[in-house]
Amino acid sequence: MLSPTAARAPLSWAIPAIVIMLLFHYAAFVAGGWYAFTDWNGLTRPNFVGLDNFRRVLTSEEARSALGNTLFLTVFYVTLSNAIGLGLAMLLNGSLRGRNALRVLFFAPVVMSPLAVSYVWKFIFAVNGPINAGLEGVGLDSATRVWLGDPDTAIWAVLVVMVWQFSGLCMAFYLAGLQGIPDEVLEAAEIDGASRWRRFRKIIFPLLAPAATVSIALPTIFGLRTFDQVIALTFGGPGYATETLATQIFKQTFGFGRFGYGAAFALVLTALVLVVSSIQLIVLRAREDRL
Amino acid sequence: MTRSPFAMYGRELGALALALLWCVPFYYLAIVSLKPTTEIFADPVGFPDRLEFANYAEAWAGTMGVSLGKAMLNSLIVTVGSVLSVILIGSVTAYVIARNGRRMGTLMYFFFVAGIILPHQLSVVPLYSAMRQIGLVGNHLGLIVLYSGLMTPMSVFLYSGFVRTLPADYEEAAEVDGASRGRIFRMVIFPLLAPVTGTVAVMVGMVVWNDFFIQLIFLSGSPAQTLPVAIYGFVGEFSARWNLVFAAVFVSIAPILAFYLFAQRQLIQGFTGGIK
Amino acid sequence: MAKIQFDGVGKRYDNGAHAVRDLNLTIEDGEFMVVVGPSGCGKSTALRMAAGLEPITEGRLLFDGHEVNALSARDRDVAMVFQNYALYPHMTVSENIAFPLASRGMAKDEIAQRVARAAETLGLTEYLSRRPKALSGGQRQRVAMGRAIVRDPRLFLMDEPLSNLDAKLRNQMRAEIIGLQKTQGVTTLYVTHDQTEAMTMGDRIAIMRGGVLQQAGAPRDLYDHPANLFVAAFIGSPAMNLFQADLRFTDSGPVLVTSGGTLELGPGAALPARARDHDNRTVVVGLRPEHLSLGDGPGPSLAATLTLTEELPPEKLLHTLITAETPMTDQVVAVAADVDASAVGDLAQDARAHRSRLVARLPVDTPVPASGPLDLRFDPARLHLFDARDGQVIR
Ligand SMILES: Nc1ncnc2c1ncn2[C@@H]1O[C@H](COP(=O)(O)OP(=O)(O)OP(=O)(O)O)[C@@H](O)[C@H]1O
Ligand SMILES: [Mg+2]
Repeated sequence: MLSPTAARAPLSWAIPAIVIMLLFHYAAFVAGGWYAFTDWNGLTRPNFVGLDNFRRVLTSEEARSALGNTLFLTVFYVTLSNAIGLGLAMLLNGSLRGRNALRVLFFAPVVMSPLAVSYVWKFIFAVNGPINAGLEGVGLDSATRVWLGDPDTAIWAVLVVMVWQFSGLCMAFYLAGLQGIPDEVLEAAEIDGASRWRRFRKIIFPLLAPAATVSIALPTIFGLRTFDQVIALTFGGPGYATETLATQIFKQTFGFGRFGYGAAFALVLTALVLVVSSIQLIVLRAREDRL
Repeated sequence: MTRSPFAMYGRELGALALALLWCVPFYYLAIVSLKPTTEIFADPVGFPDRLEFANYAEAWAGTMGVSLGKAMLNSLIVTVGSVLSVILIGSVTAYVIARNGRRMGTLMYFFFVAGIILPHQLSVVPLYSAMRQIGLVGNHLGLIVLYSGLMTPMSVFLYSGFVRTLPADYEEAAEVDGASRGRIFRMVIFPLLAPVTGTVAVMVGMVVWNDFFIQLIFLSGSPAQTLPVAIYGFVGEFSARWNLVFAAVFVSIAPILAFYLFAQRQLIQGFTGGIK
Repeated sequence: MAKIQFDGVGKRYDNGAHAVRDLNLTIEDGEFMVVVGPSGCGKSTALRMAAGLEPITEGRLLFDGHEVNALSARDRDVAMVFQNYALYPHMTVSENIAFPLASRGMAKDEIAQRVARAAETLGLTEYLSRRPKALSGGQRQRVAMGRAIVRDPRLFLMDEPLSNLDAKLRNQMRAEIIGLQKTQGVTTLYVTHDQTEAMTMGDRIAIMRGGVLQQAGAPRDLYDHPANLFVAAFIGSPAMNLFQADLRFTDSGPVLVTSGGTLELGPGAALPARARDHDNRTVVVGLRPEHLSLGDGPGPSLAATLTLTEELPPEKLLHTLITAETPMTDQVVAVAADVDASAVGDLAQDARAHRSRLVARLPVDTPVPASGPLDLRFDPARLHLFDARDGQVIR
């Protein structure tokens, strides 16, 4: 006999959601995975081509640079936004004047559309835009550049936009973590004679483990999926200098109609997300458990 | 705590410097849209000499027959529709999961939550071709359906955490009071879930409002195109005229920024609710 | 209103816990029945089976002679007051009280009338538009009552409804609940683990232990004629004094032999015939504190040592020790364990020292020495005797 609690929420109520999950996640995932082994062009019948698409993903120039750029962006984006976010949180957790207004300011970019934000930055980076004008203004003419058109700087520009937009999110996570540390703990440490740096290193930082888990895991997923910023700022150029896995998935599939090849990219991205996320979660959770 | 006045001063100075740096894009967001065309690159850094509000009128007209107003309405329809349907699906499903015993509940929980990690870039390709066949590409309904599907794991995850902590007392009281199952959910459970419903609404609303990848694929060139797609098209057409681009960008950011300033506390809390 | 019958009802939870066993209990129409017992004895389980919140796994539950086992809670037409009230936090007081009526599809104006009347009865009229959060504990309790009395259910169910209130409020609400129940005349099943509450509120009391009904009857009945050692030890405050002795039938009549001496019961004890079966066996002797007295007079007396005097006008409590084995049967230990862990420790300590505690309740103006030896006299007619092995009453 069904327990009354279960009878109050019959399994049949979950059927719509189960169907949705099967269609939009599991079936779509399997279908997408299958495309990756075909030469489907979105119109005619797909032919099975085995590992051809993956061979291309491993050897073609666009793919190698997409993979490299994605990893580069993810690593630096996660590191920088966490460093800045943690710094901001430490700065704004105390009794600083105007800290509420500053919190609102630093978090504001998070809620905005990455596409729109990227266009604002595209102007700032423009050849005759504010950065170059400013450099010329202080006599540093030699430092001016075609920021978005130079393969050496374009990827950094993308990174700057991402870090500017989402450091505030890490800040909010760390602030929430800091607020969870009872004052007595820090006071006890101060009475015990711990220096400020030591208090941070030995007490605050370890206690921030749960905040760090989110602050690292979420930007990692964002970073691996980087798309909007690249499309707006450089459209992957110059050459393949700023292509990412997501932009390649989009271009190959919907630009060139190479659905199979695009799906292979997507499968690589999925595998990357799964592997990186699992490793991270295991490591970060273990750190939390040691609390 | 005693701290030297110098250390205090240094902290404030550092904060101020960072704040100024962070303000730079906002500064340009505010002024470029009001500059006359000739002035943009003549003086990219400074204030406009005179405010050119006509930029906004011109930008508002949009491109390809879709005005920014229409695009905003499209975004609103898609966002509100998706949020409502995700709330409905997520709350009911999380309730079922929480109330169906440990083993069944855990099984279902993982069945749903696995969908959070899988990036949708892979699923979108087959979904696009399937939905194109049944006419769900290029219109609001298609996007609402798609987002409902994609956001279900996230909402089930958020709701589950909360429903689990709800004591069964309220349901038992309502049952003794003679309420039917539907009534118990509608009148007792769902209202009690209000805090999570707020979080789900904010999260899903922001993701959908700001998402570009999916909207670009499903709506480009259609009259149902949303703000991100419209802005993308607009920039493509007027890339040289930064004042118009900025007017359009400003229009697209303004509603969510206003909402943020109005409810920043709740909004930030919505993001960080899970951290203790 | 209805007559409720538990007919061999039992409950086995999925995890195997046998929370209620073979419960046979009839609650007459309009009767106030209190179920009492130590924590975990199955009170709530019995109540929740009556409500329809917990499936009945054995036996039958009858309302007015009709089996209701298969009826869900919403179809049983019962009202329940929960321990923590379970007021809907998002609804106002009036919405809370109206909820059971609205759930049954009653017309709006009739709902309004009934809610107004219930609020009036409970003194809640001025709080009708408040949320539960903005009410005091006592007011919340009243709202929970309001949700129950607003309709005429067949049965009121209350699970420790007063346990979250402070002592003063509890006394007041106790009287109010009794008053309401009497005017409404609704059959009521009331669960508590507070025996004072049980004694003052119930028309009848059912005492449970370990899922088994021990005894059911009027409060006075249970107090004067406990069916076993558990009921004897559980009911009464201060508790019944208990010590062990050997029962012997001698030429001069029955005597109780303790390690400290022999007590001649004489013919006044009027032991029943079956007491003979216990000749030369160990029994547990029970004496209520108010049945002990000082000074000369008829009847046997116990040589005691006074350890502490508590004055509680109009009476005083004398705590004494006598030389007699302390009974450590599982029933006595179970009652002590329900009080607290230290009570069990005290009991064990006494048992090791071969002594027993005796409390005497005397008028406050009785002259008593500060400490030292003392003779406690008792009327053999007031004596309780229990089988030391199974705890069943002998007399
Ligand atoms: N849902 C359940 N699943 C399994 N066992 C349960 C469940 N509810 C209660 N029990 C067990 O059944 C027994 C009786 O529990 P019940 O809640 O009826 O006791 P109670 O007399 O109301 O106690 P208390 O005075 O502490 O409220 C206990 O041993 C308890 O552990
Ligand atoms: Mg209980």
